[in-house]
Amino acid sequence: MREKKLETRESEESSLEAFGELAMKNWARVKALFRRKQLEKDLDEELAFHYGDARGKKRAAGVAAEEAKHAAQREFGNAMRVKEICRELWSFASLEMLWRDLRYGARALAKNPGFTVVAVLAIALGIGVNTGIFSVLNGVALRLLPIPEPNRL
Amino acid sequence: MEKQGDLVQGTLDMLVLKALARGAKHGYAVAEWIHESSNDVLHVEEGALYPALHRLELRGLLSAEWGSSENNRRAKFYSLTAAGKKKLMEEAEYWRRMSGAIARVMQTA
Repeated sequence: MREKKLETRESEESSLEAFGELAMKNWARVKALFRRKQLEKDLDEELAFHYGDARGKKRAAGVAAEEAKHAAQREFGNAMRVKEICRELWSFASLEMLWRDLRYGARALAKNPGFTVVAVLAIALGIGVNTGIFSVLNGVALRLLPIPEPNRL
Repeated sequence: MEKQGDLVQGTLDMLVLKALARGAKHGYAVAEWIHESSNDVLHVEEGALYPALHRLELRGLLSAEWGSSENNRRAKFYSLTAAGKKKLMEEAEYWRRMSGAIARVMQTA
């Protein structure tokens, strides 16, 4: 039921609007590419401010020193995670991951030239044999003779 | 089991937009505002809050600006854009309809 409700709601929103939002998002990400350092600094500062305020409030409420220390450690772990998520939001995460995978693949191949040669040869042989057999078959069996009504021959 | 004070899924964005309806706030103030306006029932963790703020900014519903806080420290202030105001109105209307419907269902004997 919930699913259905959500669907009708989605269709109420014009697709143009959704497209505009997507374009805006990606444009913001493109701009973010050129100010990575600034974004990183902003993120640090933003979270530092948050924890500063949170600590101030706790201290005002009279939290013990030991507990405050643990809280600070917890917060540090959280901050790392929060930053990670935000960083992903501002970048083309899946594209970047794909690019990293490709580079990793290339590096692995370059490191094992023997393996690479064998793999390339195997693929080349496979493609070559396939193409060869197909061209022969194509010429001999698949193509019809260049005359009208060849089936009456 | 759900922890006490966990948000109904999908409502955080709406609450954040609502928190900013009366003017710009920084992240900590948004969390505080939600906490206080809910009579200390709702608790927004920073692990959910900042990703939500950044997501809304990225979608063009919020704009962000650095300014100085009450205690004169540099803080990032978020405010609603025109699109954000529109979104808030839509979300509020949808929430009103849904919560009313759910309440009616739950009241049937």
